[in-house]
Amino acid sequence: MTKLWIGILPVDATDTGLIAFFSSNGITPYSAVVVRDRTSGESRRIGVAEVDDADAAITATNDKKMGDYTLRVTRWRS
Amino acid sequence: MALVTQPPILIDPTGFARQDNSTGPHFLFIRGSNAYAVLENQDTGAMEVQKSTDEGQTWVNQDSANAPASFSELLTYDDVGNDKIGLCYTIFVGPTPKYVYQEFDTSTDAYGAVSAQFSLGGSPWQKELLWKKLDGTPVVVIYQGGAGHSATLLSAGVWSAPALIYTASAAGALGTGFRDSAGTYHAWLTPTPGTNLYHVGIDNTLTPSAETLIYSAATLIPTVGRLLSDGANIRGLALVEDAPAVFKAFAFVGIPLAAPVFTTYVVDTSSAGEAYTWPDSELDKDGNWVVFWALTSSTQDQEMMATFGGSTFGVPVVFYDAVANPPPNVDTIGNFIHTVDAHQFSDGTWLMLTAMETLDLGGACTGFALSTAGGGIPLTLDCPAVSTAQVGVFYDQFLGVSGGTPPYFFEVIP
Repeated sequence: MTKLWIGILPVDATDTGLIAFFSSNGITPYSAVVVRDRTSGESRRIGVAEVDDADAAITATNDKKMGDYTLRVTRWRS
Repeated sequence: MALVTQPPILIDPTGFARQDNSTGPHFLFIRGSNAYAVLENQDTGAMEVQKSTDEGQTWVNQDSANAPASFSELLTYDDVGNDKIGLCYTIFVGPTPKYVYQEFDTSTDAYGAVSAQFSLGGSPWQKELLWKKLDGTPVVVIYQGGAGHSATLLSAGVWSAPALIYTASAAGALGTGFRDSAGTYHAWLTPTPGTNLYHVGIDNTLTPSAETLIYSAATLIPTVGRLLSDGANIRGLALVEDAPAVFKAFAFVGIPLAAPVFTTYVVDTSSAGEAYTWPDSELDKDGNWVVFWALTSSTQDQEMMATFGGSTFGVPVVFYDAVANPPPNVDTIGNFIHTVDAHQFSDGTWLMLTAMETLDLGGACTGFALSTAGGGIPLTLDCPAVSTAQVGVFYDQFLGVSGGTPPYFFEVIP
């Protein structure tokens, strides 16, 4: 399983919306969450998803739009 | 290369002590050469006032026997003069949050008495809690809830009944600011989320001024740092999106304090795939305005810094790079820098308190000190062209050096 970095998200993006974004592009992630500030709950404008085939997921989702935002999807930095 | 070259310093090595200023204007307090950090220990549930006498290199928890314990994570604190740090925090009595006020005296490094409890109207989840105590005046708590912003005052040990003092023109929250010498509390107002940024002043009779529009963004104003004053100006840093995912670090200056007119400056604009978060403003040891913000991308996690030159900001520099110089004992996948408060000591060393946020979904935000000591200012060598030499004839050659950590030692390698 590989973690993916997703950004920059719309400010009102939700976990459900992020999963829907992957699904609409033919990818079913194990998990997909919007990273939020722990205290305020405000979005950090990035997300993380866990997938089996990172290359396939990146090919399917990178540079695709979520609302007005064109998302960049890459492997999570290490 | 980042200005911070030494590893981040874990302020409380015994636990995940959290730093958070989402409800408070400051959490780094300077008294002479001493630094104080206010933390919440997530392991013990106790408050910590940590003290450093060496510009942040080492920290010691003060008066832990009398520290507030088992309080809610909502907490706000500020410098209230007379060597005191004012602490306002919540405790839960059954399902209802109660608030109390307490001071920490840095002249004795001890906590003072706890005030009577008070309650706030509106939602129990109050995210905005502004307050300021001037010497000889009551503690004032201003909070958002219900129909707008209300206030309560502590006088002679008794809290007044909360009273509505301000209803904003748009749904939004007042942000943290400062109280000027005339007693006016200067705050910003941002609809949540919204595109407009306003200034509001609340005078010492708790009467708000008219809202002054500072900036209207095309897409969004995601977040604004606390307001700062140099005595004559209002200064602040906002993060603005004038197009989707294009962030601007956007500084504004308002003058005069009584009826400010604002001038704006773009400090920096993000590249594709970068997000800006956690803006902050500080004055350096010479009184220059310095702004900070965190830059996150798929490859970067950096704290950026830029200095105002009077008419423009200088080129931003990397203050700290969390990817190249990650904190110890924290999940390296996360490391999100957030919540910053900084101070420059007279010797030029910057001390920044921050939190690193892990990504284990429930992980801690752990308090760290970032210091430019130990070579934080890059070493620069000035090596002019070598003079024309002649065998057997001595000559002098100037070699200039600056930055780094003196004294300097050189070795001739044949």
